[in-house]
Amino acid sequence: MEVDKTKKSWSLTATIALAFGVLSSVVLLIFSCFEMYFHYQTERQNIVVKQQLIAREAATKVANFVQVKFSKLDSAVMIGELATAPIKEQEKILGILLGREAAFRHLVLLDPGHQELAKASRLSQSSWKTFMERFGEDLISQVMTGHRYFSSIYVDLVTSEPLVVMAVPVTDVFGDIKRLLIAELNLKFMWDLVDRLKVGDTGYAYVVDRKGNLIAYGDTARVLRGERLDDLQSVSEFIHNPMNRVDTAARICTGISGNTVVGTYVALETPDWAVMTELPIKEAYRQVMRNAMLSVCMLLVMAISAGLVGILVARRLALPLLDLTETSTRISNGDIGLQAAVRGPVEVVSLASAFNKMTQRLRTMLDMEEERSRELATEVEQRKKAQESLQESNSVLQATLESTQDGVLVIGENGQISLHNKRFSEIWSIPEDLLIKGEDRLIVDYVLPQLVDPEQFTAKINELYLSSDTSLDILHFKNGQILERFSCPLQKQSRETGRVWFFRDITERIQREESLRITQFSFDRAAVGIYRVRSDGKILEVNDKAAEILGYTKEEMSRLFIFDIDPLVDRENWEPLWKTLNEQNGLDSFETIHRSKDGRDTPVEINSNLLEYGGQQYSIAFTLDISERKRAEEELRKLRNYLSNIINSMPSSLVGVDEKGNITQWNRTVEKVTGIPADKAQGRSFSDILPWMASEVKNISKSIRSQQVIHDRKRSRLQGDGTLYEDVTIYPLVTNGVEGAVIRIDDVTDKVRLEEMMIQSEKMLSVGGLAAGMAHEINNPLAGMMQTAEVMTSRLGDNFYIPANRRAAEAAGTTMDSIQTFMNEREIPRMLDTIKESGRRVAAIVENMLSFARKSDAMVSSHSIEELLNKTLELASTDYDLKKHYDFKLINITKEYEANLPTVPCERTKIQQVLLNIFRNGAQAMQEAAVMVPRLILRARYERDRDMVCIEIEDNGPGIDEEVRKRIFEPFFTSKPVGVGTGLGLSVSYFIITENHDGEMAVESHPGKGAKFIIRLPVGGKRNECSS
Amino acid sequence: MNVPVKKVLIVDDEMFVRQSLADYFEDRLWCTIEAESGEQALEILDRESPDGVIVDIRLGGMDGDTFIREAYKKKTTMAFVICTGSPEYNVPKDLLERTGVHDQIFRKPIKNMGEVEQVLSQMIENLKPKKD
Repeated sequence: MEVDKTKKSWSLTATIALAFGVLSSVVLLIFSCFEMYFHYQTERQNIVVKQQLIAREAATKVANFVQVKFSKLDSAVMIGELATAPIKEQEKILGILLGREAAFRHLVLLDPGHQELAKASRLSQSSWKTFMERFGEDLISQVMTGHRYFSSIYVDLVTSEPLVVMAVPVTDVFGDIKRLLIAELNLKFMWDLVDRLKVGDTGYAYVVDRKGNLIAYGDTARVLRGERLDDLQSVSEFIHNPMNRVDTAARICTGISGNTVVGTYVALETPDWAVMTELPIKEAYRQVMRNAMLSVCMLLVMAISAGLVGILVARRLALPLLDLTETSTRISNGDIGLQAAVRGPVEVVSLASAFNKMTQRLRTMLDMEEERSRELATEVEQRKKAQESLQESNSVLQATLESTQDGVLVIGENGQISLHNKRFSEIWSIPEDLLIKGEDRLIVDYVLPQLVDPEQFTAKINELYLSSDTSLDILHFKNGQILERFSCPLQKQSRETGRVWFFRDITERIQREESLRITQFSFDRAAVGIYRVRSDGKILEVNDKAAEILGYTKEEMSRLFIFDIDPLVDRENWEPLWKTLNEQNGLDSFETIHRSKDGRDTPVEINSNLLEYGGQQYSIAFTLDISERKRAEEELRKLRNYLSNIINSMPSSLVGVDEKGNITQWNRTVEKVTGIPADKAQGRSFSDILPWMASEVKNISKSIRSQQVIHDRKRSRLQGDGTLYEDVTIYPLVTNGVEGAVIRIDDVTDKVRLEEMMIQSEKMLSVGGLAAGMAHEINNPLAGMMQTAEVMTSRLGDNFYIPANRRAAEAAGTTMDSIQTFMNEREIPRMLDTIKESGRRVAAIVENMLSFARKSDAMVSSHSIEELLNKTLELASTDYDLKKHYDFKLINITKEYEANLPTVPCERTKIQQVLLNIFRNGAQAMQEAAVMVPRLILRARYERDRDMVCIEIEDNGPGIDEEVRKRIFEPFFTSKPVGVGTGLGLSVSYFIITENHDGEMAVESHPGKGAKFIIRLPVGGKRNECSS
Repeated sequence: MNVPVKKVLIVDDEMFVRQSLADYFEDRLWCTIEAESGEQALEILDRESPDGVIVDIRLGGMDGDTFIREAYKKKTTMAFVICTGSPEYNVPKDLLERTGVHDQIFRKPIKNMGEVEQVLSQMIENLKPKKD
């Protein structure tokens, strides 16, 4: 039942389904074609009728446009009585008409003799004569016969606009033609109309004249270009059928834009134009296309359904046949017992029965054949087995001989080699050809030189050949190889027929034994204790040293467990320890304590290694007595502690850095200064932790490089509200190649301040000395000047009681009154005042300077600081300046006095002078800076530790910058404009406080944050005063 | 004119100072005598007998203090007013003990010459009854 696969065969199902599908599709196709054709015909008729209607409507609109213009002309003729009206009136009417109708460009009224009577024009230059030249004759002949005239189109050369000329006769009441009214009409105004004509959705209309010129169209550019369209089918039909005044049928043709359209046209009577309408064919036949598409879709759906029905029917028919086919396929594959199913149509049923009979007969034949072949096979099998077993025993023998590690040599009766294996020739390195000869003698000769003791070897052989003993001995080779030789006689029917020799290479075994001996020796004599411990903590074996460390014998130790010698480990926590050891890849190193036999604890370091053999885990532990090391470490720790205590108790900030600038040492002082604890600073970069020291990093590396100490003195930095001064010293480290440096930072702010003050005092004193000498020299000429000025004032003034004045006036022939008048007129008194005032200022300067020189000669008495401050405030409050709008009373004053202040011995007026000076300076500064709420805070407190009363005067003015602050107490240093202050005020104050009262005076300020003056006065008074 | 004219001797080495004082006192109808040194003033005292003396301390030759002591030896009824430009100057004790020497020192430049005149007049008045 083989199917011929080379010939392409169709399945029954496919054939039936295809036939069914094709048949129904053909029927449907024919039906659809008819349906579509009829539908198309009907639709086409509809389109033609619709297009004609649209064209006619468009034509009416265009005709109307022209008609309206004619009627306007007519009405002008009628209403304006143009035939009779005077020329002025006529011109006016034409003007009005031109104004009303934008499409007219020219209006001209002619008399029958062609003379112009009146005209109106939109153009400055009247060009009516040009169109008269063109159309004149035609026009006049037509109008004079009482007809209207409508010219052909022409184009204005300037504006490119299409124009026509129209004319009507002007008749009087009797109907006689009296005049002609001619108008030039601009067709541009028709374009809009044409553009607005609706032809479907995408269709359009245009107008052509009889010559085929395009007159109006949506695309005005084409009109202006003056296109001729006589090549279009519709247009040429219009041109060539002048008599056709009826509608033409719509047709499919090429449209004005070059696309395919359904076009039609309607010819107008007057003017002789045609309105063309075109509807793109896409739109016109949209409905038809849509129907056609629908039909095709339906056809497809129906064809597919028909195909599906076909497949179903075919399946049903083919099923029993397929069954039969499957059965026969399975029989051919060997399933002979199968019977085909008998069902389906009659033809198939009879086919199946016949098929079943045929298989029945074939089965019987096959069974007989099988019985015969089985008998044959059994016989062959038996023979084969016998042969195989023989071969097997042979090869087993051969394999055994070859697979043994021993060299085997069998010597027969006559000294011939009867058997040997490959291993034998390898061990003795005997060449193949020698073996083939088979002479034992030759082989012995060959091997002798390899041996250490050949005589003994040959003696042994000879001895053995004479006896029937077995023997075992060792052979040493010159190259170090060692062989074990075994020999036994070969017997056949209890008769010796030769000897069998076995040679075994035992070189490696001997070497292993040697190395084991060495290992054992090392183990026994090792300087560290070695333990072998079982997984349950049992000590299996120890070496001498291990026993010695703990004072046990080796035997005693091998009875103990680890927890017997290690007090830190007990039976319970042994297992987790073992597990940890396992997890660490069997390696562990730790320190612990071992207890010796006499109960003494010894610190030990253990190195434990995990060893696995025979399925058991062991720990091999090396134990080192570290008592000595521990003691050294303890000592080192103490020393380090001691050194660190020294470093920490240093009053300077000490910072150690390595060569990279990372902090290695951080003492307690620097912790206190920076507020950064040592553990936070360690390892961090120096410039990160002490950013204001960043500039020192360069110096640090320089110092390390050059191994020289670097000093950086009086570095200033801002901290809180004050300036801090620090001395920085960098010491390079030179110990044991450890590179780095120690940085020492000392806060020298107090020292710097003291220095500043000392410099200040020095300056004061030198000024003082100078002043004393100078004062006398200045005062004398000053006295001459000022006193003379005073006398002059009295002589020139109105002091009438000075008789000399009056006498002098009389002698000069004048009176004191007129002199007085003259004086006042020339402002002499003011000038004298100027001299006196200037003199007074010089005197004040000298006086102030003398304050530095004058030794304390005034009265010192005890005063309450509180009272002094209050009194001075009272004095200051009277101080105001109208010109500068400065009033001390406007200042908000806060008093913060400590209770029970001790009295201070001082010069009352001097201290008041100082306080007043500070109040004024502060008030002026605040006023100048226009501080909104000026404020002065006065504080007084007793500083017990120094036995001084401290006065603080704080303002919220503009503050003082660092430059000014440093120099503020210098004589003649002033920040005020020239003339406002002598620059002596604060220096005098300073002198009074520091020199006269042994006190202190300082100022703290930051620009923008106000200034604070601090005065300290000793409660015990001036020292030398006390002593005297 | 029944008020007797008072006579004042002005001792000062600085001419302008001397002159300004003299001008002032003349205007107030004093009779003035000028001397530019102590020595010259002592000579004048031999001829004249002024009621008051205005003395500068630092003078070219002998100083003001010495002059007063010398002058006292000649006449005891004169009023002395000390007027100096030296800031450290204090009237010596022995001079203060004498009635004619005023304890107030006028520092140069004299701020108010009227005060000098007043002090001097007062002293002259005080000395007169003794004389009587």
